[in-house]
Amino acid sequence: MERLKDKVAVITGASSGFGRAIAKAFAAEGAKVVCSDLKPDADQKGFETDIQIPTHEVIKESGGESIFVTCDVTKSKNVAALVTASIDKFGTLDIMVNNAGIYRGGKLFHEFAEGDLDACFNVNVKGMFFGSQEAVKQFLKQGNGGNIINIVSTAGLGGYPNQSVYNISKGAAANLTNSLAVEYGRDKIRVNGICPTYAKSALTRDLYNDKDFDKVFVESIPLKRWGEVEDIANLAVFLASDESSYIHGDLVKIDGGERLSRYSV
Amino acid sequence: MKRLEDKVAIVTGASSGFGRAIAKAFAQAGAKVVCSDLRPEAAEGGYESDISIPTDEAIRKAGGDAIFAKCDVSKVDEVKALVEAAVKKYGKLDIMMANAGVFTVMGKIHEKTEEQYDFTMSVNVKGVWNSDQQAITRFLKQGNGGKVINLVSIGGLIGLANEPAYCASKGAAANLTRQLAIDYGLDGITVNGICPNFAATAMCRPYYEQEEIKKYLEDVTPLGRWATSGDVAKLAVFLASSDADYITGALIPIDGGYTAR
Repeated sequence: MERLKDKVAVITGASSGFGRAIAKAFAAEGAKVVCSDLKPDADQKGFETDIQIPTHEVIKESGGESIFVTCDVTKSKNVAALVTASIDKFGTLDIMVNNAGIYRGGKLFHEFAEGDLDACFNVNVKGMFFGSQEAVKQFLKQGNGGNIINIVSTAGLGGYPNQSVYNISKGAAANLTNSLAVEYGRDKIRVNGICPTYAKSALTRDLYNDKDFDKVFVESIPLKRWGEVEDIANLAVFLASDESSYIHGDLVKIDGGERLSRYSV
Repeated sequence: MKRLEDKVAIVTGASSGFGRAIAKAFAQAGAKVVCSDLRPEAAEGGYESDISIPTDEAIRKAGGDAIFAKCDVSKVDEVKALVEAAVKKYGKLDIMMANAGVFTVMGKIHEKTEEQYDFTMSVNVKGVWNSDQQAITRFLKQGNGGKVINLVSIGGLIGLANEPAYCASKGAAANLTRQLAIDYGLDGITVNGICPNFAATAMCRPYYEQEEIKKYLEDVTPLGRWATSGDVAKLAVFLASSDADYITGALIPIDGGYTAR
């Protein structure tokens, strides 16, 4: 299927988890993919069957086009260089996926340190901020619209317990997405957010291994399973393609119904 | 393999507008489609280029598989018969697209009649209730999950000026969507809502044709245009496909950014 034929996409946090799955799915649909992360190697706590092979190499082995660019999204100069590297290699930018994110949890609000808040803000908010800024600047320069997909999380929509600093950072990410949508719609830059709940990835491996958490979590979800990174990748392909041409400023939940049943007995 | 290969879908309100576009898109994606409405002929005043041809015929002309089954969704017996007709013709049901909906006229609540209220509720709430109920009953019997998609409208998420009955009805449809997703997740049945804003269809023609209203909506919509039936149909195909298996209880705006403001 060639739903993203010849599109050039940059994906942050592409070495593992959601970013990796999105990069592979985009490439399978014909896109040229710039994989970006702190390092090319996947986080070894992940669930990927091909975890030994960096994402961009998996893509190339499958016949796709992909490069890896090191980038610390908390540094605006790094992000600017990332976009420049994409243009140098592929000539244009069509899709920006701001996926890089970190998680902090397991503490009550008053037990978190300032460093926890800063860490979440630097990656989850500033990283998305810089990624969106550089993408918008490039899209405006190109003058032909563009597409931004922000990986937000259901944590951006409500006050989940024991992860307040994460919730706060994702709430900011959610409204950043809204703000972008309002300001750049006229420039044909489409912006949307994806809100997953816990999915099986390196980021949540410790929670997945916690049998108590696993039981409570799965029972709380109408669809009775953890998300898979492929679920999120399928939605990302939809939002990146012309199939979603009138969907703009959405924060799309992909959570197996988890948010609905929080108030059910 | 096509995205809805071998799936059987019912689309209510399939003769015109969103329903017509969805039925055609489902068929193009490989589904067998039961087009349902009060009559097979498209509503006059629509913008479809092939408006003189009923939806099911248009689908078959394009090489797809479709039948027409008359149904007033506000009557549960007719909806039961609709599902039975689908199963009789195609052997099963996989997708219920509860799209049929009505809009009377713009006006404030103190100007509205009881008849307008009752009519709006009977189609937009009871019709969706009947369609979802009968589809889910069939899905449970088949024991293999299923997909329910309700055409909700952003009027189910926010208030829209001069549309009290419509918004009340769509709010009900929105929360029914969320509620059903909770009850049937374990059965592998997903339930989602599509929430468009105004679109260029027969239903909205009176407003599309008023330059002031047309322009006002274009100005306040970040993407600067009205929706088309084709936009909505593409989202319906996505939600009906296995790509959306982990999405349930979602009310997805398709409004060019209108509600992002």
